[in-house]
Amino acid sequence: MRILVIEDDPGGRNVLVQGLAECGHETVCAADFAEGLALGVQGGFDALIADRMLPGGDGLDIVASLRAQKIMTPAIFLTAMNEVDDRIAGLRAGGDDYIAKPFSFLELVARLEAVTRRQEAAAETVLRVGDLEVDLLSRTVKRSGTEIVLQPREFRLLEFLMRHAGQTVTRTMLLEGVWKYRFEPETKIIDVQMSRLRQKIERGFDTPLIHTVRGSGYCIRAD
Amino acid sequence: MRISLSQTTTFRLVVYACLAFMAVGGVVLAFLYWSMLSVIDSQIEGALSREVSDMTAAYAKGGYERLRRTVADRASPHQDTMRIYMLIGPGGAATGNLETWPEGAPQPGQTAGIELPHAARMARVRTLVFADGSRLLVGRALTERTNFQLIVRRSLLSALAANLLLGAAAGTMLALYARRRLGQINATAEEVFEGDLSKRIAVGEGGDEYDHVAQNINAMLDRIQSLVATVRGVTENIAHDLRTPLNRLRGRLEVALMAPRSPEDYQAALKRAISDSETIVDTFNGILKIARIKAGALALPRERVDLAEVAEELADLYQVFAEESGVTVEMRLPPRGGGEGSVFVLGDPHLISQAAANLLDNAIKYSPPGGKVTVTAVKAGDGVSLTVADNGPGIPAAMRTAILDRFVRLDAAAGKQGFGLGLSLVSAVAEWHGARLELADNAPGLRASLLFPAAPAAS
Repeated sequence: MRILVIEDDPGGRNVLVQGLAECGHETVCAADFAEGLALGVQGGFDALIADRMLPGGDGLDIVASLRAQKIMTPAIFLTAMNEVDDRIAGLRAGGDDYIAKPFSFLELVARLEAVTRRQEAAAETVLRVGDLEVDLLSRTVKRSGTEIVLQPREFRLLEFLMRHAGQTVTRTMLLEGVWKYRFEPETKIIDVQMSRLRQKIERGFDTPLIHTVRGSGYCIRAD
Repeated sequence: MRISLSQTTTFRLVVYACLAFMAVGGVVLAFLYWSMLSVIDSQIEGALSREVSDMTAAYAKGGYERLRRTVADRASPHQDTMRIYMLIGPGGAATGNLETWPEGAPQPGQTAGIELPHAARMARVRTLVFADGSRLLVGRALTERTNFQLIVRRSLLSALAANLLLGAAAGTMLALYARRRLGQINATAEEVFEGDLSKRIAVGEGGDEYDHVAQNINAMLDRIQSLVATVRGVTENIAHDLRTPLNRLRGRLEVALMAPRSPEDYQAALKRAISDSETIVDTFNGILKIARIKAGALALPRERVDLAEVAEELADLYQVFAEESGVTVEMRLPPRGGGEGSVFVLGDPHLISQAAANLLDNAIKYSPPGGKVTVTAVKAGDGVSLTVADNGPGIPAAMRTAILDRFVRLDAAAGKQGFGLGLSLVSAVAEWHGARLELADNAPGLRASLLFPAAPAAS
């Protein structure tokens, strides 16, 4: 992917450029508001990552201005202003996601993938990964033709994973996406939920489908 | 800075009030004065006209002799001394109560004000001449009129003087009072400015406008002081809570570099370092979040939140964790979505969820295997309560208040995750919602209740 990074702190910018390069992404950098807006308008990016407190303005206004010009490049705000109200403001301005500094790089990469794929999400009614099949209409799950009975929350968890098949989803993404919670409980609740789901899906089958991504989250894939 | 009394607003206001009072009083008095004078003057003119017609009639009836008798009669010392008569007969004989024909007497048929000789008093006189050449002067002394003028002038002057004196006295007193009251406010402001945030303005019992200002300023100072205390607390807590994990992180990295290691060992060290830094970030964010909620800096809209819904969704989230921990969670909730016994509060659903999650998280974590956690949402009096009760070790009564104020950790629960920060957040969220967090003994265990004011009925 080609990603526009709008960040004024050279250190933070370098980490982003280096980290994204490791993940196989190309980056173009802007160090202030005007440059960021100009590059954003120029276009040609798969996504943009914008800091909020920039020399010359608020990164929020860059995205708002792009949206006003019908430029829909997926945008993630990266900011030290991490409170819920800031977050609401960010999403309202047309941002697709919002990550608070200090952030986990893996979290950023996972969300970047999520916002860029979101556009491709088709209106499928049956999701498949390997021999696992999730029917969204009848709300049934089958593996190799055998029906697996899931609790409603387990179904929603699996559905979220399947919609992001092949991508890493982090615990916070799951909390937000499945439970609509914007906080992380003290206990690693998601891990407990996931191990229960995994038992149901994988018991009696040889190939694991749900993979733990060390330090960041989970990924469902057939390998 | 000390300002002179005459510069104060109060003093100037009193002076203006006095001037205005004097102006109005002056106008009223002047009007009275002129009206009274014109009444007196027209009475005098009327009296003179009657004298003239009486005298003319006397002369017509009985000639000079009759006129002379009338004059002598009216001018006799037994009569009113205010009346003035002077008749000079054809032969030059004088009758009347004046010694001579006064100088400055007007032409016949005319009226004039003159000064009477020897008497040093003013009079209004009229003259007339009869056919036989005799001259008559009738008049009225103006003593009463002059006295009236004198009285009015004197009272005007004394009123003026009294007004000025009283005004100056009242102005000075009021200005002194105002200066004293404002002086207290200013002195306190200066002390606060110098850095003593605990100073407060003395509030009188009268409840006047100064007391009002003082109360408001004091309330403002209370708020500022508590905000400053929060900031100080946050700074101290950040320093305290972050120093240890930062130290551990640094130590880990340093130890990892001390000797050559295999890539796997390096990876393991780095992963542990990342996990340490995650703890640091979590703590940091937690403290900041609590501080922001406590400072009232969250600009979140308040909406109607159904506690039954919040609790049910949390139960769903925590169900598996509870099962794995061997703890039963029992929900005692009214049906969600309104109706009889519904438990709506006004607030932010995410904050309330997080607060409730922290309570539930703690309750499950501290419950022994086989334990039971009860989540209850009910109407309680005017409000609504959300209670999470467990039968774990509980919190000693002495610790309960401390736990709400500071980000303390309970040593009694060693081995389990810290729980001070979680409850501090619950307490901050409660405060933001105008709710109260109560910690009670569940005998055994902890019973944590959030007591919210009920939301107004949906419109």
